[in-house]
Amino acid sequence: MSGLLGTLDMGNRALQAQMKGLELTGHNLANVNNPGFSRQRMEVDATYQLEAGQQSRGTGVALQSIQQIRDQILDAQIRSEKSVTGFLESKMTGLEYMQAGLGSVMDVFSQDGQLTGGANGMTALFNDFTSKLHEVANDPSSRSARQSFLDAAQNLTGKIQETSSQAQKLQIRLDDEIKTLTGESNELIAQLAELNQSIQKVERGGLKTANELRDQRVEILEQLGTLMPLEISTAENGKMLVQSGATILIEGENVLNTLLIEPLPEGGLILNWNNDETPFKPQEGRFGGLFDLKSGALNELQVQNDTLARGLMEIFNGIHSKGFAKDGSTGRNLFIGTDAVSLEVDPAILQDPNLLQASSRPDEAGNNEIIQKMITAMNDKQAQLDGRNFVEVHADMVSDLGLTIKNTQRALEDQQSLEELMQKQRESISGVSIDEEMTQLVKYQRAFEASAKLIGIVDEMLGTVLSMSR
Amino acid sequence: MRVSTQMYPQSLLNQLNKLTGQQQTLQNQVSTGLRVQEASDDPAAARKMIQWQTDMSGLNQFRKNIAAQQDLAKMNHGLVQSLNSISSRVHELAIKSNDTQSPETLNFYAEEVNSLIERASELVNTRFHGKYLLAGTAEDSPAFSFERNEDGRIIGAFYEGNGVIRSVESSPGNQVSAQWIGANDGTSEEPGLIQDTDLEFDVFRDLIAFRDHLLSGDTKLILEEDIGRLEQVEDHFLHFMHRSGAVQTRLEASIGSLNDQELALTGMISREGEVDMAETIVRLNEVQYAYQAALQSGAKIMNSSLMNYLR
Repeated sequence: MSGLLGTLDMGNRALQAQMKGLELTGHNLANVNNPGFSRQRMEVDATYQLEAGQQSRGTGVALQSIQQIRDQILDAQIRSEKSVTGFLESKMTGLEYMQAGLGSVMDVFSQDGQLTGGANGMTALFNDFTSKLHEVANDPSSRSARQSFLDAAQNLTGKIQETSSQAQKLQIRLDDEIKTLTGESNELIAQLAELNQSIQKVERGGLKTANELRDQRVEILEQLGTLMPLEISTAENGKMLVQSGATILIEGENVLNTLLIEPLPEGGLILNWNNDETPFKPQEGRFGGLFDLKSGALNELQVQNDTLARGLMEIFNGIHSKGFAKDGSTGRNLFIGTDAVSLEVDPAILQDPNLLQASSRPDEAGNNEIIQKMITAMNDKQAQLDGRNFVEVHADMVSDLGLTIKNTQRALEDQQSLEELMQKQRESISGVSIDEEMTQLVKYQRAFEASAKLIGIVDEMLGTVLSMSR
Repeated sequence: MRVSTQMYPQSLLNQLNKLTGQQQTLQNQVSTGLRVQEASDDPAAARKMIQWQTDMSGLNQFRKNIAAQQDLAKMNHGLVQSLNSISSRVHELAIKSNDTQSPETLNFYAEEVNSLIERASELVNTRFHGKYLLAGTAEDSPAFSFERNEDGRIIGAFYEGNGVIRSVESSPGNQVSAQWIGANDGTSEEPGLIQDTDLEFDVFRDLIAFRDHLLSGDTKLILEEDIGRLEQVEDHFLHFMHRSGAVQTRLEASIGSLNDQELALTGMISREGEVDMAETIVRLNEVQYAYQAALQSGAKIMNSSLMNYLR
């Protein structure tokens, strides 16, 4: 359209465009504190009219689209890093529970026989066990020395049992967390599929982009990515494919696989994909961290604790059963049980310390040779303990846990720094800057005023034209 | 680089978190004096300290073991001193018992020797902490039993103990014992204090023989046999007294060595586990200043934006 009416129309379209710009700036400002929001910008183009043989005529401005300022590659990188962070964070939390419950609290100058808390309490108990062995060696016929030693032995086995039961409790706790995360994952998968459907509906025809829905989808993908490793790709039919390892979770709006918990008969659980019926064995994400902890550090601790228990039983029973009690009886074991959970001192000996077989020959009340052999066994390196002595096994348990914690802490700190850096980059690209939006506001306001002025002038000119015919 | 509104507060928060974490760690170290509070603080040091604590416990126990043996050695020393004074007196009487003495005097001597024999029979069954000192490891019954004649006089002493002594650890792999056995019937590695088959020695045999010779007035036998034998008895007890002295010296030296080791271990544990107070306090101050500075500058920067200047 040409002439004054055409110019009026041009002014009107300009007003619409500037108002849209203001609206968009307002939307950006409203979401300045929304961490999942990507700033939006209008894409406008000049409109024009073309007629054959005529000069092309500009007809104002029109809104083409509203674009999110977002870097998809950066999004994918951040999702991948969140997977690693999730792994390290859940592993670190689990290790901290282990340290608190099983403990590596150091009391540098602990007194003999005093419980100093945690695994270090076991150091004191081992030392007490050895000391009381010496007391019996000094005075084998003394009932009180024997009783003291048996009490120390009972304390030691009690501590080993306690360590075992704490570890089992922690396994159960980790399993509970896995169950919770499974519920969360399945919900997120369902939400993703729904979002895909909504985005598809809105973007049908290819004219509009569902920016807010896409923002939500990125957030949910990141939440899911924190739990398990994900790969996002596009299928041949154009639908979004979300995979974890070889398993496809989602194709477009369809959920193909969710997680299923299967309890194991001997306790514990495994996770499977419900449709493919394949096992879920993640190496990253919070799931990965929990599984790594269960089969790694926690399992190792239980194994070492069992090694201690079995070592005590085999080695000391072997020595003790060859000795003679005060009444000349022989052949009795000092410890009963099969593993760390069931290990204890024979209650019959506990009740009657005279049954402790301290002597190497009958009728020698002052003979301490069996006890001396036990003392030597405490200090010697044993094949059942992988060539270490008891204190070394315990020291290894403590320092291995400490080292795992220290290394995980370091890795986590580095990972968190890396993630922070990437978040900063994303924020730099997609984040809202108040200063920038204020400038935009002023820009659109002035442009609106200018377009309104144009309309005003054209209106006056139209009035002049109309008054010409009178 | 484009800076969005969120970037600065997030950055500030991260820095403040880090500084708070550092402050907490340093504060813990200052208030406990410990550098290594958990094994994760320094796993290698933690492992060493567990070993050292066990070594310390061992040293304390060795000290107790040695102290118990020292007590035993003192008891033995007292015992052999008493036996020695008996044998000296008997030897003295033997020398005096010659033809110049009247039968009444010899009888008188005999009664004295008899009461000394009775005294010796009590001494050899001395108990220490309820256990018979000279019975070897058969310590819950008397070391010697005695045969008496119809007059009630002791005519024979029989060893009821065994030839095994009990030893204890005084340092890793080393055993020590201050125990003596009453008699060696040739099967023991230890010399017998009262009787010894290898040395053909028997205190009671010689004392009883002398008493009986006094009672019968046989001064010839006293001169030819008893004096010589009683000299041997004295020498034998002197030898044991020297042994006792040597054992006590050795035990003292062991204690001295243990004390030195304990000092060294204490130093090592302290060096690994304790914190350098001066350095830690300085670092804590540094972190606190940095924290204050971050807060102040952060507050100033976060307050200004373009909005302050647009009408």
